[in-house]
Amino acid sequence: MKKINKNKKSQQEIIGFVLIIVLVSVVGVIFLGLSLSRGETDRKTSVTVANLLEASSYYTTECVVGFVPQYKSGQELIKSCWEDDRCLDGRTACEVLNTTLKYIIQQGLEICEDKNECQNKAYKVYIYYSPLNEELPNEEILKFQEGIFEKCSNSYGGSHSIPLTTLDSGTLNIELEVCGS
Amino acid sequence: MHAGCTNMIDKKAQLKIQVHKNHRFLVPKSSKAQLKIQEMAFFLVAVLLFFILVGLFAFSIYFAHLTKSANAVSEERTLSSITNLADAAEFNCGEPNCIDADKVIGLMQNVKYEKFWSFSSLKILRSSGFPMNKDESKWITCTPTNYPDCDVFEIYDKNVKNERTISNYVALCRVELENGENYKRCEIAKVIAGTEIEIAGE
Repeated sequence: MKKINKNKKSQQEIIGFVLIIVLVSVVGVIFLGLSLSRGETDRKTSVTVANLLEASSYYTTECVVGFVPQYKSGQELIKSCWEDDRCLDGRTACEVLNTTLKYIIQQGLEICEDKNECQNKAYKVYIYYSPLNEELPNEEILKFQEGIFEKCSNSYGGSHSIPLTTLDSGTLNIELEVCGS
Repeated sequence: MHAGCTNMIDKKAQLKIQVHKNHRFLVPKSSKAQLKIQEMAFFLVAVLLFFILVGLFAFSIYFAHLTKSANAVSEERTLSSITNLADAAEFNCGEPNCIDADKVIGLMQNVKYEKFWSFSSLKILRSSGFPMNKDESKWITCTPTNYPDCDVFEIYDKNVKNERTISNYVALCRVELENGENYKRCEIAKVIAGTEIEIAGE
């Protein structure tokens, strides 16, 4: 009888010890999970990307309106794309904007699928109109992606806003997210 | 002997025994109890060690993030100093983060600017010289004679031993003539600034 009691006591002690370890492990896993998920939700913002977008808004594009040399700048082209304008050569402003931005981003950020040749492997561009009234939804102007973004562990991005001329008209925004090799 | 006296002697003896008993009470009754105490002590030490290990693990994760963010902040500071450079009157084209190429060509003739900025070297790379277009060895340095058919504006270089370069994207604009009319042509360029690194023992 005494032996059985002794065994029960030691079993209880073992269970208690296991319970403490399990409890501490669970707390640890929750803490780890929280810290890791916080890292994922915070997208790394890059000054370089933001500056590239700002510089591209002054870039002289191939889109001409009226007569040569009335070339449109990057930000004027975004406005024209939003207003569905056409260039003098018949192409739509959105087509020219798409080609120009692809060229600037690929050259500037060295993006290609070969890891050894380029610094980055993929990017996403999202251009949208954001009204001053925050309750109204954003209007998509242009969205495109190059390369494969899946399983990207090292992504960073930036944005640039172009205010529209009239005070109540809101802003045109351009966002760029890059996936590093 | 007197009865009261014998009672007193008995009580004294009892007290002595009690004192003796109390001394014995401080020492564990058996080796079993000693073992129990030892077990408990080991258990407490193990739990404490476990908590310390978990704490250290958590701290290492926390401080790893802290170092990363500190590096990012210092990089952003350096980058913003180059951005400010593009906004300086000596370079600016009239818009933020935009450099006037004609001003740069004029600036290249002036040696005094080596002491004006804290950078050990300063150059502006045009998009034609970007790594995807051309190797560094094939860059053509801009001069007043070959401009704009060149790749890099070398403003100054102090030729220091150990140098770390930081670059930033800017718009590089120049005035061009087409169909009898002047207009501003802008392209993407990189401002590359070098800072001297102090290495211990050198």
